[in-house]
Amino acid sequence: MLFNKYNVLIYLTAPVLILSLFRIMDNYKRRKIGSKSTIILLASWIVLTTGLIFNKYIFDVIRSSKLSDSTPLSLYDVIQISLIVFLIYITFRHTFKIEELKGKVTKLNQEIALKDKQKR
Amino acid sequence: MSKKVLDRVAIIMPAFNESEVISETLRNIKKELKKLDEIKTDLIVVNDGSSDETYELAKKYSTVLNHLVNMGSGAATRTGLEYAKRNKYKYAVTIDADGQHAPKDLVKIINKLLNSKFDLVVGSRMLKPGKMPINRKFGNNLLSIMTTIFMGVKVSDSQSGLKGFSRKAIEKIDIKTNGFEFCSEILWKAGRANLKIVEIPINAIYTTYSLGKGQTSINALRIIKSIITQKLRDV
Repeated sequence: MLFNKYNVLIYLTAPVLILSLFRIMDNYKRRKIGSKSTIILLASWIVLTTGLIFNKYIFDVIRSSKLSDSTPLSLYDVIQISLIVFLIYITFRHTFKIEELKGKVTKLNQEIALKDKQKR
Repeated sequence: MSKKVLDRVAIIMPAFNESEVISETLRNIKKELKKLDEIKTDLIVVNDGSSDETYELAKKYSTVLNHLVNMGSGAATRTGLEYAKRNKYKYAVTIDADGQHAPKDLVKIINKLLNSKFDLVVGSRMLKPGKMPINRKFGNNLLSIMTTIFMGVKVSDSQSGLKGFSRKAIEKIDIKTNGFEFCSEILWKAGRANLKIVEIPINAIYTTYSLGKGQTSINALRIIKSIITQKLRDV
């Protein structure tokens, strides 16, 4: 049962999850994010990773405790969940890039204003 | 060789599209500052990427630092404080450009800075609320409570634009936020650096113009969000 739908979901999302965790650690090492941000981001992605790794188990527990009576995972669900994970990754990445660029533009703006004054 | 820290006061005014009132505001301030015979003051306007005549008008009365693009009042204040730091001013006072602060209160802040050992003098509109609109009163109180809870600094008017900085405060407070939330950030960083903070009552002049330019409810929500994220990010 190496290729059942639950495992396919793990295979599809694993690269994104691994890449995210590596990126967070890399940004922390390069001091682009602080320690608290790193902890929060890591915790979020670890929760997501754990949820995806144990997706079959979680589904069984939820069903057996009658919290949901949804049908087992379909191929459509697998694709949809994978895309959602990918979109979460893209959103995090772009938010971070925008913040970084905003910081650079602000700094540039400030330096131009101050240097311009020095010249006169 | 490092330059001597002079006994000069930099009056920093962030301005964005204030052409309607900036000339009058600057004239009134200059008139009041003339009364301070023995204190050297410099008016520094930080034009934050205005698309109107703010830059040209401000140039007639003050030194103007020009942001090419609009970045927000926090960014403009940071540029002004950085200018004060690099040019070795001993004190700096920030004031709004919309004319909501009485020039007499600016002088009060300067006198308090010069005649006391406080590092940060905050002009509080809440100690003398007068004709403050009810929604402003509520918003200011809410943001001050949030600042106390999350930033650990107790003040009655966390969003006041009229603040005085000692040299120590100019050097220690490094503003990172660009928007209106910088007011809370200043207090937080002052508290973290163990700077001595004092509040003095000031009057707020509410005109249709200043009410229109001030903080909106959306801004208040942004400030609350930012206060929480700043705390989490450990800026």
